[in-house]
Amino acid sequence: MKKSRLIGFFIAILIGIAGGLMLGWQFNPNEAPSTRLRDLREDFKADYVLMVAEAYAGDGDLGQAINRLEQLNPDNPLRAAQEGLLTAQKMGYQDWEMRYLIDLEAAVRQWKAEGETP
Amino acid sequence: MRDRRGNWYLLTGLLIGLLLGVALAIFVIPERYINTDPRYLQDADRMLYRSLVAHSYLAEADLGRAQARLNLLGEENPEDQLIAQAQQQLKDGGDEAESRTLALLAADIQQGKSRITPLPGVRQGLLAFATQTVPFAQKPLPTGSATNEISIPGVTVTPRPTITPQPTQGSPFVLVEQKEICDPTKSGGLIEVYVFNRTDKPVAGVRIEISIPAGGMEAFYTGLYPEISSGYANYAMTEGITYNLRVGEAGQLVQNLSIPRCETEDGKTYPGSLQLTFKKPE
Repeated sequence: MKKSRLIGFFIAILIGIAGGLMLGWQFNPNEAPSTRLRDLREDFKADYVLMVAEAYAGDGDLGQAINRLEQLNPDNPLRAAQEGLLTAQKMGYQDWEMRYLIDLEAAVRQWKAEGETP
Repeated sequence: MRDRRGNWYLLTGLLIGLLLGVALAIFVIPERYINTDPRYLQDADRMLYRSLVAHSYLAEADLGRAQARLNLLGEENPEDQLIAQAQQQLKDGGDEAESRTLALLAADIQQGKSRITPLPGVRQGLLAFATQTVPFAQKPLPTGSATNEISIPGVTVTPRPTITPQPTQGSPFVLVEQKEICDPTKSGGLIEVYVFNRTDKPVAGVRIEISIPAGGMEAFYTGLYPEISSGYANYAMTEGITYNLRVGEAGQLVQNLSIPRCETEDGKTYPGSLQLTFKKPE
């Protein structure tokens, strides 16, 4: 096969792959939901963090709260709490909701400062 | 000779590529959603989300908000999912308090009213919140993503409330009817429990404890069989064992339950079932 034909052949394959991917995603969408909590939109993440904060206010279980925050950011639960707090502030959460979020953030920050042992 | 081969090689390449692309899209790099809503969560994360909604409900006691959050999962009967999760966790030997929390929320959704009181800080906030009607899902989206430099808003940290709300104790359920069910077409050996409230409405999420005199106890909840009744639950008895059963907290103890023996017209015996109906007294 001539070199130019070979190049054309591979370019056609690449174009076909691109088209095939689009076809596959378009007409065979993932039936079983596979989204993780960390893939949620920012506002839903903030609400998730608020729920963590409320649950923490109820049971005082910091270890559980950190486990839950790690669902959003496995490496840095403090960052998850802080980002939730920021989003909540931007979205105009109520004062009492902000208080819970701040309490949670403070507790997680202290936990991190003390060497991450809840 | 070369010219006679034409450009079919391009079409061949395109077709091979298409097949490869479709296979990749289906098997290797399936569609993945990001920046999405909870309805696309995978099962394990749905369970975490449901559990968190229930725990948050314990603090807020805001049934409408808990329902709104559960509705984000896009499930037809969220209360059934809560009950199923509670039941599954009990079966798996999970945290019983967790199951109770899920069941409590399911029961309150079923009854359409909250039976708990919010934490003090939440209660005060709710008084102010009551005048505003913008649910969280309709709040405007933030315009930018979080920056790497996190600066925390300068709001004073308030002391965290330490009171954990508990469900209010109602009057216990009492046994209003107990009968043996003899149906040779069914396998038998079941304790079938129906639980109703004062107005004869079936109640989901009611905990039922069953114990054997020799020791050991299991718990299950009403509402797992909504196709029969949301106040229905059943338990499969073992031949030769006698059980004691209690419905709800401090409910009436029904003792000495065992598989009844039924008889067909030609004298053969087969295992029957027991049907117990409980109701809240007037």
